[in-house]
Amino acid sequence: MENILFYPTLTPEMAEASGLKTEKYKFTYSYQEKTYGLQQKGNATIKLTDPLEIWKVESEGLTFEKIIRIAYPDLLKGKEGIACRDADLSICIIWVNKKLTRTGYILPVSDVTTNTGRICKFYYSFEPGNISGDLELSIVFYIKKKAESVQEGEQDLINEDGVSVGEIERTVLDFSSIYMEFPIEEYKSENEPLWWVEFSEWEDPKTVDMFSKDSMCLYLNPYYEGCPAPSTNEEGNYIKNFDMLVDILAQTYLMMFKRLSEDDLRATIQNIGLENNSICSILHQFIEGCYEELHWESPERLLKSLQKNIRLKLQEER
Amino acid sequence: MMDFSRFRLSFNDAKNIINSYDEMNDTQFFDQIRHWANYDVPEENYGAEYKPFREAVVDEFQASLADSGNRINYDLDLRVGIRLYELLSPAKDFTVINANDDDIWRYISVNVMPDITFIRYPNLSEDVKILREYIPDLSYSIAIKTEKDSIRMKKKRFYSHTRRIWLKTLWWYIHLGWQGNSEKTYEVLKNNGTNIISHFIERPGRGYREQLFRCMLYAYSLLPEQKDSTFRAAAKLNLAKCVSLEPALTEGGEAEYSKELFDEVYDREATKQDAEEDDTE
Repeated sequence: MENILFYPTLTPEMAEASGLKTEKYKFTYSYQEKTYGLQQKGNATIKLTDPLEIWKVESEGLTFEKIIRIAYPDLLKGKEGIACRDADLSICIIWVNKKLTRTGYILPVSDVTTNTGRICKFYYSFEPGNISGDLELSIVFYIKKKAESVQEGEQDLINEDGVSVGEIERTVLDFSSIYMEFPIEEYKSENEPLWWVEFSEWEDPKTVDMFSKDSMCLYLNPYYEGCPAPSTNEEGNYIKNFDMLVDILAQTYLMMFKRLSEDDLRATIQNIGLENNSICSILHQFIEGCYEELHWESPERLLKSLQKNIRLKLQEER
Repeated sequence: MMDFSRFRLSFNDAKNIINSYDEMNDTQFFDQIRHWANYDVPEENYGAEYKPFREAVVDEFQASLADSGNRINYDLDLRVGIRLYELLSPAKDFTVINANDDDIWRYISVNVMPDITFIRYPNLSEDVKILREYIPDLSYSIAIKTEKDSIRMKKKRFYSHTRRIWLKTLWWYIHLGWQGNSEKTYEVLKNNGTNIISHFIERPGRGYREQLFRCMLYAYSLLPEQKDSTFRAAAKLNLAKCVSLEPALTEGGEAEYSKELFDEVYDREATKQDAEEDDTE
């Protein structure tokens, strides 16, 4: 229901016609008065990593830059657009930090229109201690100042200050990578199989046991040619033996779901009483992020649906 | 500056401690209540760093009770909340990450201040009789409701419900109502009621917009009369508006938006009331 709006908003056709282009985010952080870059992986969901392994968003904060260009901004106004001709249409970023239940907005540091189009530049820092867990950045058009007069044919357009008239791009940053990344170790040995999983004794996967190497670990054995190796190139977007990795991860998730008691599985699916980053909480996020519904009726159907979803997820990340 | 990460209590550890109270027999538990009614919490239960903090908050709790004739009411929540916020303020490096960390609040509620949490939220009305042995005529402006699934202690208020842990909700209420200093904050919030705290904390929408909430509470304080129904209606309208609108980006920003929001609701309620009175005549 939240997305039903009774006025025109940005469509992909309008975005294309107006020559709307967004540049990739640049993420940095400051440490001891120096600025360092962060590496990013993924598109709609970005995982940030620090080659120096210093950065944590909680303690170092996060700075980003983003540039948006519109070659023909006038095409977004008037009866075929999203704002009245006399209105002031602007761009802002709405941020949401779900873990801390906080939201806010970011205005561009510069917004210049020349005869080659409009360039909107964002530069913003989240100070240490203000963000944790996740961050959603939604770039939107909004009516900065409504039109004094509504012209012929513009009656259907919204003409109120502060109203969003369409999303340009939505990006989710996932900072909990130590928990979201599946705990994997490589172990080369001719005496061991291609892969195996080790679980610790779980006390309470809903609250006590974290989704980390302390609770579980998937071992891959590169002794075998068919062994998958995640992130095997510099940019981390190529996976050797991709199909095998899909299969192994699907079976590992199946084992984890089967390890849960009926009550814990229900709590995981329905998100009841789950501590942040606990095994069940991460499994819940996994379930929520699935493209197709998981089939719980039988182990074989669950395995099949896990395989499909994990393949899609890994493809998206690449 | 205290390192808050050193003093945390997990869900399970908090649950075990509360269970140990639940498992006491009547004699043992009534004795425990008597200790709490005397604000007697063993110092070895919590880190020494928390001692001055505990003393300051308990002092405020006691002063508020003394001023109200031992009545637990909204004013007590407000005064304790402001004192808590002064001691754990973002200006003193208590970050919103800390304030959102339930393990820190569990530690404070269960280990450092179980006495005032219990006095504020006893689970059974008969326990109040024992508290009254030491806090004469202790009364509650809102009747005590026994929490389902809790035995002797209200577990939601101590540790289990992230938006109901009492001291945590007070901190967030003051944070979202903060007007720059304690005096101004007290003035703006003094005519509200306990229900407003839960409205605010339990319905964050997409997330807390701190500046907007501060402006809304200020605008509400300017109305001729502060009624829960007005606040509820305005909060609901605000949530609906915020689906497509960013209040800060409207002309006049959050301050003007909040004023118009409350004026709109207040006028509508006043008109409705007039119409009802006309019908009665």
